Order: sequence, then structure tokens, then C-alpha cells
Amino acid sequence: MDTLLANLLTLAVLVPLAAAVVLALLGGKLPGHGRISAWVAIGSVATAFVITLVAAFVYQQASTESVVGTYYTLIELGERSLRLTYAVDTLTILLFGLVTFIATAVMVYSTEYLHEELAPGGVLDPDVRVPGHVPFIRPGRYNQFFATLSFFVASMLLLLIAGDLLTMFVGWELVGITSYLLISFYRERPLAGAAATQAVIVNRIGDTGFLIAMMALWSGVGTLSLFSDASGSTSLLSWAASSEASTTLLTVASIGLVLAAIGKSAQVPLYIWLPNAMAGPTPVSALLHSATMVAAGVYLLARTLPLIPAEILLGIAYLGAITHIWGGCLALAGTDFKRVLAFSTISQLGLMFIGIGLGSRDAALFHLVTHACFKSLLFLAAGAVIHGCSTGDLRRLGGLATKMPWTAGTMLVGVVGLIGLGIPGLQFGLSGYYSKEAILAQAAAFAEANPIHGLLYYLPLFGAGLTALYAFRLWYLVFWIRPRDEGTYAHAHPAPPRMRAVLVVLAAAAILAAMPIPGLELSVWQSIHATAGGEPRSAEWLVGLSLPTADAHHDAEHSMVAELSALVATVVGILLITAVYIWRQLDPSELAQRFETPVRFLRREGRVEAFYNTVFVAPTLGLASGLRWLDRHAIDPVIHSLAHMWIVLARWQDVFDRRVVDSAVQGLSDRLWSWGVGLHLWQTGRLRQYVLMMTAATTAIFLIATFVWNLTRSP
Amino acid sequence: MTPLVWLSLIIFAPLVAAVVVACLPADRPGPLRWITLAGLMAPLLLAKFLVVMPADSGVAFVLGEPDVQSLVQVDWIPTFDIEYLLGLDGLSYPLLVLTAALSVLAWIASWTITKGLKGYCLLFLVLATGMLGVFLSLDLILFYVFFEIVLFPMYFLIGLWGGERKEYAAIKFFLYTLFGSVLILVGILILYFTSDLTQLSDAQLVGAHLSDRTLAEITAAREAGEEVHTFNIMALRALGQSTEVFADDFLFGKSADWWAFVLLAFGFLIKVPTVPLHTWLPDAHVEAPTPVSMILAGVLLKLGGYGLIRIAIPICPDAAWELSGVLATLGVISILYGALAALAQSDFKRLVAYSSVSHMGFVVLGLASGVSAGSGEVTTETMELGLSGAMYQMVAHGVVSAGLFFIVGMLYQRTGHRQLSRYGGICNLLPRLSALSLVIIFAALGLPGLCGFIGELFVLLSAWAYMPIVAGLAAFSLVLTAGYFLSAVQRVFLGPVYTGPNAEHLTEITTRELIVLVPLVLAAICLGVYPEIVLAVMEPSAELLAEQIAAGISQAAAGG
Repeated sequence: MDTLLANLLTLAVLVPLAAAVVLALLGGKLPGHGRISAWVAIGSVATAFVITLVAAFVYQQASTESVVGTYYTLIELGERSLRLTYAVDTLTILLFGLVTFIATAVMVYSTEYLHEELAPGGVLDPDVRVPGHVPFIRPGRYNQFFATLSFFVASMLLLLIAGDLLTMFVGWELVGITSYLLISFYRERPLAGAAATQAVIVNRIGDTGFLIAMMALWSGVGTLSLFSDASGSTSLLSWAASSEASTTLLTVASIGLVLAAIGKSAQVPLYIWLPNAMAGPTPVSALLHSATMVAAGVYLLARTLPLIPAEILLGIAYLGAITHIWGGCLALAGTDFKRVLAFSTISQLGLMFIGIGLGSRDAALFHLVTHACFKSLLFLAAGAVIHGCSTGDLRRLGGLATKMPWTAGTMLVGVVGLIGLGIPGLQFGLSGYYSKEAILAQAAAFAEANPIHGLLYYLPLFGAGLTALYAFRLWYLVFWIRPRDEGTYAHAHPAPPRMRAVLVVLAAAAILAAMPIPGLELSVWQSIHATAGGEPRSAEWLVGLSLPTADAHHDAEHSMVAELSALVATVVGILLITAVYIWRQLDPSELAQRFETPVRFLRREGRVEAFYNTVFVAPTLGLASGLRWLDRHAIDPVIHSLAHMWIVLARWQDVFDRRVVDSAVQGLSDRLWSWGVGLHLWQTGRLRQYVLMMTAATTAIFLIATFVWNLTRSP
Repeated sequence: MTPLVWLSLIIFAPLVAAVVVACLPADRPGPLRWITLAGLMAPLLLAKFLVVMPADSGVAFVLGEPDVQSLVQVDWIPTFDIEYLLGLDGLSYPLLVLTAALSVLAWIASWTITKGLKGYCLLFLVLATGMLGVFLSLDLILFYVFFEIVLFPMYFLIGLWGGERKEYAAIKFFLYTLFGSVLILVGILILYFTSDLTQLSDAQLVGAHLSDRTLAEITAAREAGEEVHTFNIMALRALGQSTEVFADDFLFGKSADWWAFVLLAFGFLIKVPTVPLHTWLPDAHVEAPTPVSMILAGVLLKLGGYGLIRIAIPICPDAAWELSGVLATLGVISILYGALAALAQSDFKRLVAYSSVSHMGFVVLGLASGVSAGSGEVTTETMELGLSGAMYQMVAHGVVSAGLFFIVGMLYQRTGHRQLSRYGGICNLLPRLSALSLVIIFAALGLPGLCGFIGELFVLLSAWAYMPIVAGLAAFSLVLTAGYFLSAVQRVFLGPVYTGPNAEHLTEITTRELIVLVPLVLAAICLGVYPEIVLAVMEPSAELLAEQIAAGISQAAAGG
């Protein structure tokens, strides 16, 4: 049964991979202008989804909690070995289901969204400027898009099934490179290429952390496996739970892991790549840059939570809180539909970091799942708007609720899910309500136990209000208030049926994701909760820091406090923004004028990118140019002068030859004659003697050289 | 067939082809090219067949056997105990196959060369003989002879078929490496004159693979109380690891093995090349014709790394151990310096050349942590991992750098320039060429699943136990690597249109070019996905070497 489970999920990884390979090699030759490519890709990912469902069924019958095994051994080193392994538990299956489900939905949506890539005459890209002011037409890339997306799904699933850090790193890097390929999908646009490059470079800063963690743990523990296998072998988690675990090592490794997670999950200070990644097609933003790939950082921390010292967890929580608020502020001021959603993603990932940092892996993962549902919905709704209006500029949209009611309705579901609206006490609300409440309850319990860190409760509470503000602002600007650009409004057309259907499916998921499945004793929360993970470590040097137990967010008292205060914050946020845009109590433009400085600061996104360019990028490039200069003007001149010295020596020798030797031997013939005579003496016909001469000469040179050196050295 | 014939054929088949080529008329390119190709294919096939030969036939490469196999031992110059001593083990075999394969691919890449074709064929074949000979030699003088043979054809290939500043580049290359060679020769002579085979026990004499004549000589010398010198690498290795013959004061209070190691390492590090001895490389690469760059990066740089792992480190383990900190520092400086310098280049080929400096730095770092026994948390396993990583990195870099230079060459051949800022839009113009190029570039980035990752991972994992800071800095270089390669990709392959000169010559990849590039791409994928195909060959030897070094060092620690 166990092997069946592992085989099934491995198959779920391999099927999209196979589809990607087939499409990459043969895609251009498929009939129907590549229309079939999409269905090959969707078929593969949907198959993976079905396999996951079967696996879930098998898992329920299985006796063990988790299945651990080895794909293959890279290298065997005495008792250690570097292996690629897998581990399957409830969380793996749950996230497999999540990824394949959303990927299938996004890909079906993409068949419509990228329809113009199929145009027989090529695609006209109005965003590309070429010399001569001719319209830019390029070949369609429908097949390439679906091949890359399939490859992404395979890589993401590999990341999830990984049973050790190395395998996870392989998946981690592979999703990174597919992200690169997809951000640069519109590669003719100058911003797309730069954004893709930036994404990889910033992520690689995090990857350095991942590598450092692997290096430290491998050297110190001798394994990279997270889980012990059936024979009870040493694993990182079992080592961390034992008394052998060294705090220094754990600290170094944790800092590395956190750095990796910050990069991938776009936290302060490495978040800048994510808004720029919106240069890719919108379905890519929905799948990679909000729902799945960027959550990998949270997943990594969730899996390695028992390795992280409590002090570092506290740092994670504060970092998450800062990111949560900063992302929310940027989203509130944003003027681009997709960028606002990207900042929202950053903010929500920050909330998950708070959950991890406060020791509640379950709440963070719960929010990861619900966020994936409503955020992919929001992005796909944004895609429908951009598809229908050809722009995502919030200053040119408005009043679209009448033009595209389905999109407006489903997006409203997403917005309500995002702000986590629900009725306290009744346990009724959209999916985001449950997960956000779980994190807030944990924060309330934490703040109660550690009053000095009360900020970690009030910041997310403030964040809840902020989320309500920017989420409803976005929705009002796009769908409700008076259209501000008549041309855009007039030409807006509703989403095609297939896109609409996907929106409805995802809206249903956003509503229901947190609810228990009737008839089955199974819900997302229970699946996460059933996954063994180990307790967070207790603090060693930060005296007095106490983490609440992982179940704190479920005790009634904290839950009630969290629910009520979150509801108040949210409702205040909603009322405030409604007062601005609907009731017109406050004039938005007047507000913008009154708060001109902060608004401009936020509109420029804090000038963080410019700051990084000045502080990090420019000095690095300067150093690089300096080294280039060093090669040309410092090292080479030394070499040249050495060479020159030889030439001078050779000239002297030439002079010596002509003046001394020539005059002595009187001309060339004489010299040849004497040479011949001279050589004759040595020509004994014995090879050994030649070699003896050769060696003797070389040795003599060596001895003279060392003698001379000796002289120069000794005073 | 005996090993003598088989291994000699591997080395000298190109030379035989060179003789045939010399007799052909110079004005008919067809026969010249095909005979050269045959002369280069023969070593590849012969080397590949070694793995499938039955183990008991005497001529075979048996997987899992850590020591030297298929030994050939013939007296060459008996007075000085110089032998024609050939053999293979897990350290040399992968590089032998790499060399043979890259020679063939580089030759196919040379198909368009018309200027002085006959001379080009001759030089190319002599070059191949030299390179193959280096990897098969187990006698120091024989090794040195082949090592030098490589130099001369390379000098002419750069100096006659190169670009604008070819004379400058060729002479710079020649002087740099000749300087290194002289140091190596002196190092070899120090080892020879301080060696004394009578110090070895009978069991060690058996392991050192000595000829009957030498054994008789040893018996006689023992009775007479004389010394017996040797150039036999295996015997020197046994001497260096288990006796004290090299440990006496030699010069300035340093022992013979210290001096020998410093001289040998200096010479080999020029070849690798290591900063600050690297400035020959960008010039030589940029001026050399594409196929010669492929050989230069793919094989010649490996001669340095191979020399270290075959000669300098096993024979002088104590000195290597003493100086491993210096080696590691040089390695990480090369990694960062090369990456940063690459970031500042505007010429695509120069960028790739500097990337070689950076990538080869990992080889030096891996070797350093491979000899770092006893320091930090280093175990024999860590050393083995470092040595394997260095070896793997050499093979992977051979594949990747040859591919990169070929890609630059294809673009240069079409457009006549290499300025990054004047490219753009290549993806749309040449989709197939671009797709294959991206795989090679991703491999160079160290993307998992492609060959560049494995070597770097092993080296990093091993280096941390020895010097965490150095390993951390080396890991950070991956950010810079992504920076320079991806900004090059952005400038060359992405973007809307090509604005540089000769746009009309931008044609899709030809069948001949596919024959060169596709094997490299496949190799990059296979080596990345299933490294076992190379590790199975090199691992037993790397393990043996790590154990020998560890034992040698502990011996010295106990003795000193």
C-alpha cells in the first residue's frame, strides 16, 4: 500500500513532466496551429489531479502516517549518502490536490486568455516599440506557454513531494527557472526581460541561504533528509528533537532557510521582484506568483519548523508583520490592477509568516491553502478585466459591474474571501475567514503570554483593516464607481464563457475551501492538523519568550477575541472606503491632496528599487568594472614587463653572440665547422648519453637558479 | 589485443592520421577533413569500448575498480628509469572520454575552416595526441612530454587562425604556460632526485606497479646501500604517502615535497587558471577560432586540474594539506573574481571566458577541501566528496564551456561581431538555436537537473566542513553567475529586434551545427539528471585517493 501511494504521487509528478517534454519537442508540429498543445497540457495536469484524488483514497486505507523512500542515491560516502528522496503525508496530498486543481483551472482559463497566440498571421504586440514605427508582429507562442506551464506543475509537485532539503532545492530552483521563462513570456517588451532577470537574481540571494542551510546541516548532521524512514534512520527532524542538536548549527541553518523563504515568498526586504513579475501573462501571475510558487517559502518553513530556534521564529513573525503592513500600504496606493494584487499577495504571505513565526504551522498552512483559492480567483478576474478592456490601469477603469457582471460577482467573492469576512460565533464565513482567524487567535494567545510583543497582535489586526480598505477600493475602482475613461468603458466586453466558468469554479473553491466535506470526516484544516510536524523549539537565550501551544488558536477564548476584533477592524475598513468612493463623504482627490507626501511616497513604492540600485547593484557593477580594469592595467602590465625583460635579455645575448662569439670564430662557416666538430665529440650514438646531457643541462639551470635566488634572499 | 596496442592506438591514432594527411594534396579539402575526423573518432570509439570489454581480457575499464587498470609498461629510457607507462583509473577515464569526444565535436565545428586547411588538420591532430597522452601517462616525464606537445599546436592554432590580436594572444598564452611548464619540470626533477624506491616495503612495491628490471635494481641497490630514483607516478605516490623520503629539509627550511608541490601547483594553477594567473585566458579565448576555444576551455583547462589531482596532491599530500588553505582561498577568489569580471564584459566571448575562470575556481576549491583532513569537521567522506565534486565539475565544465563557446561562435559567424549591446531578438529570429543555447546557459548557471549543479553542490557541501566562510562566499557567487548570464541572455536573445550589423546573415542553426550542439545539450541533461553515469566511474578512485591522502597525512602527523 505504501509503495502504491508513493508510486501514484510520483506518477502525478511525471505525467505533467512528460507532457512538457513532448510539447517542447513536438509541440510546433501538432495539428490545429498548436491548439492541441493546450489540451495535452491540461490533460496531463488534470490526470495528476485525478491521481492525487486516488492517492488520497489510498491514503485513507493505508496504515502509516507517512511514506518515506528514496528515488536514487547521488553519492554514497561511507555511512552518509546524498539521496533524492520523497515523503508523502497528508500535507503532501493536500497540496498536490491544491496545485493540480488550481493549475487545471488556470490552464483551462488560459486557452481563452491566450487565444490570440493562435492567430495564423502572428501576434500584434502594441506594447513593443520597434524602430521605424511599424507595428510589431511576432509568431504566436501558445505551445510554448502550455509546455512551460506543465513543466512548472511537475517542478512544483517535486518540491512538494521532496523528503529532503536537496530534492526540495531541485524543485525550488526548477520552479524558479520556469518562473523566469514565464515572466519573460512577452520577451520583446523591455520590462519583461528585465523583470525576469531581476526575479532570478533576487531569488538567488535567497537560494544562497538555502545552500548555506544545506551545507551547514550536511556537515553537522550528515543527512539532509527531513523524515526518518521505517528503519528509524537519523533525519533532520529527529536530530533536532534529540539532545545532540547544537544551537549554533540550528541558528546558522535557520537563518539560511529563512533567507531562502524570504526570497521565494517575496518578504521584506527581498519582495521587489514580485510586483515586477506581473510583466508575465496574467494566468501565470495567478498560478505562480500568487497561489503556488511564492507559497513555497512558507511551505519550506512549515516543514522545517522544529529546526528553527524560537528567537529566530520571533524574527520571522516581526518580518511577516512588517511585510503584512507594508504590502497593504502599497496595495492601497497602487494604480495598476495586477500590481495591487501582487502587493496584496506579499501582504498575505507576510500574514503566513506571522503564523509560522508564532509557532502555528497549521494556521499558516491553512491560510496558504485558502489564499491560493481566493488569490488565483482575484488574478483571473483581473485577467478577465484586462482581457476585456485591454488595460489594467485603475485610473482608466470603472463601472464595469454592468458590463461584466459575472466577473464582478466572482471577484467580489474573492475580495470578501481575502478580507476574511465572517460571522463570529456561528463559525460561518468565507474560506479566508477561518484561516485568518486562526492566525489572529494564535497572535492573541501569543500577545497574552508575551505582553512585550503585543505589537504582533495589533499589527495583523491593523492589517486586517488595511486589507479591507485596499480590497474594496480595488473592487469599487474597477466595478462600481463611475467609469473614468469612456473609450475603455465603451469597448469593454465580458469574459468568454470558458473563462467565466473557471471564475465560478474558483469562486466556489474560495467559499468552500475551509468547510468540512459533508459526509466525510475530512477538511483542509483536519488534513493539515493531522500532519505530524513536531513542536517549535523553546527559547534559549531570550528569557521569558514563550510560544503558545500549537492549539492555542482553537481555544474558544482566544478565538472569540480574535474574531470579534478582526470583524471590527474589517468593518471599519469597509465603511471607511465605502464612505470615500460610494457615499462620497470624503472626496478621494481631496484626500490624495491632503496626504500628498505619503501618497507620493507609496505611489513610488518607497523608492526601494532605486535604493537597492544605488546601494547594492551599482557598487557591484563598479567593483566588476574595477576588476576588469585590474586585469588590463595591473596584471597585464606585469606580464608585459616580464616579457619585455626577456626581449632585452635576448638582445643582449644577440649582441654577445655577434661581438664575442662571432669575432672569436670568424664567420658562419667557421662556426658551423666548429659546431660540427664540437658535436662530434658528443655523438656517441647512445641515446642514454643524450638524455643525460639534457637532464644535466636542465638540472644545471635549476641549480643555478636556486643559487641565484639564494643569493638574493640571504642578506 | 594487448593494452599496449589499444592504449597506444588511442594516443597515436590522431598522429597516424596526421601522417596520412601530410601525404595528401593540400588543395582537396574533402579527404583532409574526413581523414582527420577518422583520426579523431578512433580514440573516442576505442576509449568507449574499454568499458564494455570483458574484465579478464586485460584491456578493459572495469567499473568499481579503484586502482589503475589496463597498465602498459615498456622501458623507454632505462638509464633514467623513464618508462612508457600508461594506464587508466576513475580519475583519468572520464577526462579521456571527454577529451576524445570534444575533439570530434570541435573538429565538426571546424568544418567551415578553409584557410590553410592542411596545416590546421595537422596541428589539430597533434593537439589531440598530446591531450590524450596526458590523461593516459603514468610516468612523469612521459606526462611532461605530452603536456608540452599540447602547447605547440595550440600556439600555432591561435596565432595563425585567430582573430585581430592573434599574435599577442598566442604569445601571451605560450609564455604564460611555458613558464608554468618550466616550474612543473623543476618540480618533477626535485621529486625524481629525492625519491628512493628502496624505502618502500615489498607490499608497496607490488602496489606501485614497477617493472621487473626496476625491482632487480632495487634489490641490488638495497645490498649496495644506494638509492633508486623513479618517475613512476604510482611509486612516487606510495613514497609520498607512506615514507619520509620527501620530508627532509630541502631549501630554506622547507621539505622537498613542499617545494615540489609549490612548483607543480604553480604550474598547474596557471593552466586552470587561477586568479591572478588568469589573464592569458580571456585573450587566448577571444582571439582563438571557435573550435580551438572549445578545446581550450573544454580540455586544456582540465590539464591543470588533472595535474593537481593526479600528481601534485597524491605525491605530496602533506604539502597539499599544509597549503590547502591557500588553495581554497585562491579557489574562492577565482570564483568571485571571474564572476565579477564577467559581469563587466561587453564582449560575449570574453564574458564566457571569465565564466570559465569562475567555474574552474570550484575545481580548485573542491581539491582544497579534498586534502583538508583533520581540520574543522572534515572526515574522509568530506574529502571524497570534495575530490568527486572537483572531478565532476571538470567534466561538467568541459561540456558546458565547449557548448558556450560554440554558441558564441555560431552567432559570431553569422553577424561578425560579439558585442552584447548590439544583439537582441535572437529568440524570435533563430528559435531552435536559442532553445538549445538556453539549455547550455542554464547548465552554466548551475540549474539542478543540468550538469553544472552536481559538481558545485558537492564542492560546496564539502567545503563548508573545512572553511564555512569560504563556502558561503562561493555559494554567493551563484547570484553573480545568474546576474551575468541572464543579463547576457536578455541582451542577446530577448528583445524585439536585432539591430546589429549583418542581420540578413542570421540564419537558423544548420544540420552540422546541430550535430555539434545536440550531443552537448544531451550530455548536459544526462549528467545533470543521472550523475551516476560518471560518478560510477570516478567514485571508487576518488574514494581510494581520499583514503590514501587521509592515511598519508596521519602518517606524517604521527612521524612529525
